[in-house]
Amino acid sequence: MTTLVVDGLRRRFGPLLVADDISFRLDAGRALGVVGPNGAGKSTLLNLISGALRPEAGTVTLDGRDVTARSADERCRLGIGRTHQVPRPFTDLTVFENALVAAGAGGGLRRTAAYRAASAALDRTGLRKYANERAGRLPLLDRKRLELARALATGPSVLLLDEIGGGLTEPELRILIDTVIGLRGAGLAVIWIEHIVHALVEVVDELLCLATGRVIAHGEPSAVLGSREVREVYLGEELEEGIAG
Amino acid sequence: MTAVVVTRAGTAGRVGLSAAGLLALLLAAAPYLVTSDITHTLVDLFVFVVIATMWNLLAGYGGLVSVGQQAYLGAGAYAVIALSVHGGINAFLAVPLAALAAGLLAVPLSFLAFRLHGGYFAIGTWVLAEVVKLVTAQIGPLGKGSGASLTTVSGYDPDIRVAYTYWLALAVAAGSVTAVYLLIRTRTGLQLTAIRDDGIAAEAAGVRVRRAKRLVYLIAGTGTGAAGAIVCLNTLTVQPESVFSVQWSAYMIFMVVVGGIGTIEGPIVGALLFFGLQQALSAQGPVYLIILGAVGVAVVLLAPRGLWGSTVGRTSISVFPVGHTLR
Ligand SMILES: Nc1ncnc2c1ncn2[C@@H]1O[C@H](COP(=O)(O)OP(=O)(O)O)[C@@H](O)[C@H]1O
Ligand SMILES: [Mg+2]
Repeated sequence: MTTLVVDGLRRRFGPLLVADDISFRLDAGRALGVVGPNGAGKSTLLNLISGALRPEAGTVTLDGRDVTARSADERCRLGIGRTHQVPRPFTDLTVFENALVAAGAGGGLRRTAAYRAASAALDRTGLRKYANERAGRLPLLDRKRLELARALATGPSVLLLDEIGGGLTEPELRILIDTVIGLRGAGLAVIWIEHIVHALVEVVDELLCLATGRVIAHGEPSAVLGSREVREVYLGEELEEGIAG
Repeated sequence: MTAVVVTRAGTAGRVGLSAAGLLALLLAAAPYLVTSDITHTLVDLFVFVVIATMWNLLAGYGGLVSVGQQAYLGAGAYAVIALSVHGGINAFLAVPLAALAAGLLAVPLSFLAFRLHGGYFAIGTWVLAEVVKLVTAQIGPLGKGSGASLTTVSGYDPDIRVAYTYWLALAVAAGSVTAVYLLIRTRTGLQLTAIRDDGIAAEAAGVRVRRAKRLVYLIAGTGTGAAGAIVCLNTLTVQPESVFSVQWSAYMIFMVVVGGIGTIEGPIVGALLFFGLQQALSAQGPVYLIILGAVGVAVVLLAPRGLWGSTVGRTSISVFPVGHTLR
């Protein structure tokens, strides 16, 4: 069973502390929602876990193996798949080839096995109909779907999602929620950063709220959303909307 | 589970590949059909095809914009002198060994160059090439600053010598294009294109970015070294100031950018155009350079993806199909 353990992660950008002693553990088949105002350090946390950024202090452990010193590509091959908040498609490759790169590199698959994994990732994200289009021609929402497809094609045991639900219509969001629930049910550990709180609470087992790089609340979603610290941080904006929705 | 069917080449690709193969066979007959003046000149075209193809692999697929590939061209040229004049090896047989020597030189240089990124990488490769030139120009047996002559081929009948050089150059050109084509078709080749498009996303998808870039750098060094060896055979002399000239990098960039970067066909189109312009205009002096510059600017403005990339490359037609189509 895969377990992700984050212990004492710390990272600064110049004088700005963007990750301040962040610790938590996440088991296979469980989903963690991450909320917090813009600039709180949510994406930074994902970057620290995926290896895109190195921490000044703290460790990331996957299945008991310390991966803090491992590169991002190595962590991906070890099972950490991620999406990017601002999509980064391989623009000259087709949608199918984008997923194929991930299946071949991150998933370590060849030929038919890779084709199958890439094709399944497209089916799962509703991109099958654009399989042979250049990824550079996709509109923003489909680029976000492609981020998810690529992450899935690597065959992850830990899936990191960074605001992939923004801009979706309610029916589209419904599909995404069901997809993530399915993935969690299949045994993936999922971390999902999202402002759309009503979507999160449907999926996640626990919620973590970040503000200025610090964990200000972590636990049962309803308890986190009800806590005074979290309400103060939001000053009644986005989160209220989410709860109301 | 539904069957997943993926195809790699359409009819156009099969026709294109067959045509390319036929053209290579036709070109191989040239020494029997035309004068050795013509074949001697055509060797230049093949050299251009090789160095453009290699630079395109480096920059167009590996995202490594080098201005220092003349290091390997010069190394290949000088290696022929060292192996043949001093090592007693047949000058024609020395060509593959010289290419290998250039590839070996790329190993330590890659560790230096890869410490730098973007514009710094470009400048750094140029500096490294200058260092290779300066060091070479210190070596007594290689003629120091004034260079050396390939004396070991003087025993050949000139027509035979030119014909051998021509076939070797054609083989290196066809081999380079084929090798790059086959590489780009593989899993590694697909990953290279991904790296070129977005290195960070490639890493996040599990691609060993550094390893792929080093592979490309070593292949480009080897191929450019082979071109240098051909240059030595064709001109029979080497001088540090000519074989290590940064002008080679300017040629490579011109051919690849004008032809179409990131395509297999583009550099060949660029090499043909550059060769044609050089044949037509090189007697004109400065006017030649002005026209070259004007062509470069015009193509960049009017057809930013290059002559091939902006025309045929926009369609699904490809002489060298590398894509994957999901049926
Ligand atoms: N590469 C970077 N260099 C400097 N500052 C950065 C960088 N990335 C993020 N930041 C800053 O770190 C803070 C946290 O950013 P981020 O993790 O993206 O927040 P969130 O995802 O919660 O909106 C912000 O103030 C942002 O401006
Ligand atoms: Mg963010």
